[in-house]
Amino acid sequence: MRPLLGDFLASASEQIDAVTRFNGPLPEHATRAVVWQLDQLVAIVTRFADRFMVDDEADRRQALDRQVHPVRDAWDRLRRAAGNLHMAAGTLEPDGNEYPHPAAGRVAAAVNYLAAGQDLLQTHFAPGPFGSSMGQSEWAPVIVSAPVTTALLGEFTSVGVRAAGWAERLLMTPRADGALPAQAGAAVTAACQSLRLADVATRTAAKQHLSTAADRTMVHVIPAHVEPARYPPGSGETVPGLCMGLAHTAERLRFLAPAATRRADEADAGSSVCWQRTAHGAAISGHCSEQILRSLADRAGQLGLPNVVEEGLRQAAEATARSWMAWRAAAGAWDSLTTGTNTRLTPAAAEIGDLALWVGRLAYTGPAWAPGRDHANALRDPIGLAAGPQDLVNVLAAVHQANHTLAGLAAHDREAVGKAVAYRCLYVPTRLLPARYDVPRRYALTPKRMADALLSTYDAAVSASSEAASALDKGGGRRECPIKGPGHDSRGWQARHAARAQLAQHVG
Amino acid sequence: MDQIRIAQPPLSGGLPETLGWAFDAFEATRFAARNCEDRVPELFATFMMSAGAAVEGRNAVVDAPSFPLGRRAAPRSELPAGGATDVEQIADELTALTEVLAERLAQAAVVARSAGDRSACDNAAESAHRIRRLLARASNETAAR
Repeated sequence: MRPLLGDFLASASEQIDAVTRFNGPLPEHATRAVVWQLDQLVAIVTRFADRFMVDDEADRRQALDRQVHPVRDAWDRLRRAAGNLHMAAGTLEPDGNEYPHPAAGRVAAAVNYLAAGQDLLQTHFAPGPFGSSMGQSEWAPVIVSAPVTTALLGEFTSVGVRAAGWAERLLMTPRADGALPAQAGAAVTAACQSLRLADVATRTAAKQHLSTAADRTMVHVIPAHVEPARYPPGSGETVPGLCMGLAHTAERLRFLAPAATRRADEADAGSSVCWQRTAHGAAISGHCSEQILRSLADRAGQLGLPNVVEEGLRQAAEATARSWMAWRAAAGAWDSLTTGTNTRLTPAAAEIGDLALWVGRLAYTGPAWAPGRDHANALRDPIGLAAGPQDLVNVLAAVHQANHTLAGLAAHDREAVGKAVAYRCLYVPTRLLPARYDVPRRYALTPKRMADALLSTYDAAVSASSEAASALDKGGGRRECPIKGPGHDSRGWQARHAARAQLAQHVG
Repeated sequence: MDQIRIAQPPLSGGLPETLGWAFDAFEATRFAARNCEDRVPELFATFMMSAGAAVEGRNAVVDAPSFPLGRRAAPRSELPAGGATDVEQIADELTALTEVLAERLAQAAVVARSAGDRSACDNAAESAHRIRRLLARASNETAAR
């Protein structure tokens, strides 16, 4: 299971909860350590703001005052707090014992958790040109959207302000040993005041940006953008197991596909073998998905769900059918074309078969279903696919994942094939040419009309796949279903839904 | 071969003749598989994967250094329209064809002198094996026939 940002935020919060229960006086060496750790902690919060609060509203922010831009205000206060704490830490001499006191150790642990959380967010971005960064996941635009960034800032700031409040109370208590020099004490006090004001500004910003409970929930379910492990299907999986495996594999393929498109080495960006295999896998997956959606529509009727559910599922099935037909046309277009002798598979092309297996085993009764005449099985009964409304939701969620992935694969392959056409890397075996051609070579360059026709099939696949994914977004099925199933309640699923909503709202 | 019209494999001749025949056999297989994709939903994936393997096998053959170049149009296969019964028969015929194809290509790989020919024949034979595995009836079904 991939780590979620919420795991790190919760752990940091637990550490601060634990430390705030400590009310005893701090020995001198612990005082120094606490100030140093506070310095680290606020630096991380400020770094988060520096990294993620640079949005396209910069110009507008400069033109308006702080009352209407509390985010900017919070950012300024955080920087001021960080500066003060850094100055306070600088006045204290190290004693060679880093975390001599449990309280300082707790703050240090919170620092580490926040740093890890920040690293997790960073996995969604890659270095771009001229020192910029580019989103590399479907979460990236969500993370930099105003409501979510504000919610994130609130989470980070609240940890900092709680820790600082506790530290101020202990550090500022008059002590005979004068553990904190006056200059450092004044800086800590100023920093704590700035942090409190930053916290207030962040809350105001949350209201202004209409950050909702859903935004805050979403912040906690942001996953690390790391490659999910390969999970090939075994034999005899149950329907819930098949749904889980399908969703996991779909997510993995979404991770693998852009990696190939980004390859600097064009030879590794793909080949006709890759693109035809992907098209075959997509067509087979779509064909099975269509059967599943038709079964679900039947089942929705049997379960007495609202008519709009059944209707939505049938429409989604139709859209999915158009999608797999478009993929099949793309596969067929490669029958007469090749990119040459390179048969090395891209990761997505190598594993598209896993997706087809998962969807196929969900659609058909055979526990070890695979393409092959000896595996030709009957379709699952609607009741076997989804006994109750919750099961229906789970299966639908898994199919939606598959459709979403195929839409992404279509876009990536269209881009890569477009490059191959532009670089004139497509060839026709001369033996396939009409007899009037006598070409004493193995291959001839592909005529323009064939290359154009190939690209047209990919354009159609991109369009049809996107429509199939949208049909499940819009389809009445999931929303109208009276029972929310585990697929719906799962953190990842909720998050992806929220992410799509955010994308539509903030990016489109 | 009632439904798949393809010349018999050359009984004699060198590697170029075998490769030329293999090209035509893969092409006929691809054509037949594509035409059967839509006929029986349960066999959609089977025929689609078979067509893909046929394309890969055909292209592997073309890459062999001894592949004959020059004027030679590929034969256009023709299939009678039909329902499920025909599909089963076509699948049986393709199974038989690709079995022979795999065997001939494996033999060609053994006698080939150049590494390029050997590699091409091996790859093409593997594609033929893949098609045969996809289209073969279940073993118990075969036994019952």
